[in-house]
Amino acid sequence: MGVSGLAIPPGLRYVLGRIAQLVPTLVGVTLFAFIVIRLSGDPTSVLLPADASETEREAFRRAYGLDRPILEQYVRYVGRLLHGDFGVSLFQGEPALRLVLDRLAITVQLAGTAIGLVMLVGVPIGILAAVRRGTIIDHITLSLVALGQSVATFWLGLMLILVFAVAWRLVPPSGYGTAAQIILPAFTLAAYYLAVAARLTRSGMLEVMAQDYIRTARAKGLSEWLTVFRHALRNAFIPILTVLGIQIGELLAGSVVTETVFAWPGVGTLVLDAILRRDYPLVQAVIVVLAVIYAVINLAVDLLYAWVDPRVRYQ
Amino acid sequence: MSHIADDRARHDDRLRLSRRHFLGAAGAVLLARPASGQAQGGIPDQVTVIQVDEATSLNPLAEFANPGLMVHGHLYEPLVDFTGPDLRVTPKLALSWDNPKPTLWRFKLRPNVVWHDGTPFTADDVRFTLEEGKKPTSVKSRFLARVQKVEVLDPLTVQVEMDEPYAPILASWAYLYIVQKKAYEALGAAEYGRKPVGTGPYRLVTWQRQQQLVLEAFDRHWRGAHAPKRIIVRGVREPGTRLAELQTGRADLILGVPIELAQTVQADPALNLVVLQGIRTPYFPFNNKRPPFEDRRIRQAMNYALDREALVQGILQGYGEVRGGPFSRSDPWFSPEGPEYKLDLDRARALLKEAGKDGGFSFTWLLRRDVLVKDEEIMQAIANQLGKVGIKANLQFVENSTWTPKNLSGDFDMSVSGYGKSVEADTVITGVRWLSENSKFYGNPQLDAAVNRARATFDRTERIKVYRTADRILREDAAGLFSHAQSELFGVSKKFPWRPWAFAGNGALLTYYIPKS
Repeated sequence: MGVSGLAIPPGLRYVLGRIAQLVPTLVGVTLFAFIVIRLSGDPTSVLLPADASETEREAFRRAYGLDRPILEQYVRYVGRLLHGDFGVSLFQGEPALRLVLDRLAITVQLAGTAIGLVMLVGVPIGILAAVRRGTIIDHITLSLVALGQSVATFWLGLMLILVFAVAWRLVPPSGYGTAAQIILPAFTLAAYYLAVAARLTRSGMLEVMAQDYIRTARAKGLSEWLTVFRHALRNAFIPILTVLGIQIGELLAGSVVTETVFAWPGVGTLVLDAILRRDYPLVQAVIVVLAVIYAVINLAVDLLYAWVDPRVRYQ
Repeated sequence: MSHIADDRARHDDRLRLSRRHFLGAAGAVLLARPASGQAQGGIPDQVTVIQVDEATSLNPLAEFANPGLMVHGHLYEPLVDFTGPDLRVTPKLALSWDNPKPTLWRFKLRPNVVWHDGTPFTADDVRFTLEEGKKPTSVKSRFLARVQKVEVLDPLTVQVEMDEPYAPILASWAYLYIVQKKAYEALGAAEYGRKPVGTGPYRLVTWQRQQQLVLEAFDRHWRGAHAPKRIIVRGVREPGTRLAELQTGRADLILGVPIELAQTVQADPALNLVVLQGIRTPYFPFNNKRPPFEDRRIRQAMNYALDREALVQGILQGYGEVRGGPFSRSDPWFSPEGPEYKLDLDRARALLKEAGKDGGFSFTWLLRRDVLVKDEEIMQAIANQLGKVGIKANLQFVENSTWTPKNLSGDFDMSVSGYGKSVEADTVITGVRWLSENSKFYGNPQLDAAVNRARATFDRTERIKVYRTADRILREDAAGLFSHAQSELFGVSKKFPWRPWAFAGNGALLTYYIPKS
């Protein structure tokens, strides 16, 4: 990567190019979020009592500007968005962006712990299964993988509560605040991804381990440990990274069930509330913020590729 | 009463399968549970209560869903409340009231009441609440629509002028919690919802959203400090998780115990199952302006075709009461003269024949989920029962947002609705739209006349007599398909001598403290 004169380094250009690509995506997201939540129904059907009259509903819509033409509402919305104003939650009366970011921080703790579990448990299990292919370890791993990928999250969550919280009293059943309270939800959230990571690592490793250069590495007299971790894993890791990168975004957005079962005060429960209550500004803020995060994670994964696989850098 | 609660029910519904699994496992796993200490007869210093959701705002003019109202009921007080199992009129911030004219209400306020910030409560606060509450952005505006003018006659007297005589107003004003003018103006509606200043028996200590809300007994309350000293309120959506918190002793009271988990609560030696009978009444309105439902005999026939016992015993496992009319036998305005519908297939067939629908007919039943407990089972069972007399119901489940406008405009053959226990029959009759003036699907001039007469009858005993006429008309008319009322189930630790004795407003609200006798 030579730097010549004032020219932008190609690496940076690549990064900037990728960032520029985010703009149309995000415009699309705001429009989509705006229209879809309006198609889903009217906040007055939730906010006002069931027996409220049409006159009352009309007065409410007028008070919140929901009676205006949808295009006018969208233009106002985007105008405010450009100033960083995501509007105010209809139900909580607080700035939507602040609500989302506060709760996102709590989800990130959960998702971060779950990702840690995936990396520190799922990947090593996959490696072990590949290295000990055909042994009892491999069979157990494959069974657990099948279980992890097929078990329903809410069922797993409730079972963990029953066993570890109610029967054995090792951890509290739900809530947020102490380290003990993150264990069950993090494991519940991670279960599926643990299984995916173990399976991908195993198959990736098996494929790579059959390659000539691994035989060469062994022939050179490298230790099995070095062969596996330096030569095999690095190459097997790219597909794992791709899949997990995509799924980390899902992990953040998809923690609704886990957060509900464990009363975890994150963005998952917030988004559920917001949708059920037709809290337009809040739903829009959640969707836009999550879309940005998703896009940024994808970008980060692409950039990580470049780091893991030097070939990407030279393209 | 609240759609939010309804939406929650839908959420629970999705997790229903999980609950069954949970139950199966519960029997096996709970054996290991150590015995907890029994109640000493005293009230614990601190209790934790788990609701099905947390409050969204602590500003009573900004939230109208049960989880919020329950907390509001600790922080604030209305002018007049209706408390205890018999919903007795209980003066709160108003000590007495009279009507110099039918449209004029004069409230004498309770002296020596202080706000949580130590300042005295005055008539200015009441006027401010009524005026602020009437604005369209307030969720209580509907209760104040009739208010024309509010005057402060002296620091402890406030006079409210209405546009027309409306004697039952206090029933809906039990929800009208009085806010403090000074703090509300200084903070604004949203911030006041986070930093509430009330006169209620409990004041807010801290509130971490979606985590916990801590209330502390207000020692300068006009009745003195209540017990327990501290109440921690949490919101947990998943019923299985609520139960786990109760079983592990981390909660003392949980709300919203589903019928499937009632057995588990009962079987636990450290817990009590508390059942509040007949709190919410589902009801199925006919479109009386559309054939064949315009014929009263058809409506009666359907009411005779319903096996209510089977619904309550079979599906609700006894956690409910049959209803052969809009009101309960225990309601003072229950009319002993009106017909009380019971299963009578011969009579149903005879009425159908009289109405010229001998072979039955088919209709579309506009439904949404979450109006009632065990909704799909109940509706399917009703459809099967109607099938026995040849009436075919086509169940059409739609989303809430589709249902609301259709239901409002009367665009249905039969729909689904519901109401809570009430202190005034008027609240129910107006709420479910049985009056000609606000209904697109029912109207009876006799009923309108009775309700209007009641509105002008300021003596409650007299008014109740008029309501009996209304009840009789609604039943004779078979204004809807009447089926049952469902119960509320609570799980309580035996260490906490709690009973749902102080429910307020329409009977759906509870207080978590032990009331002073």
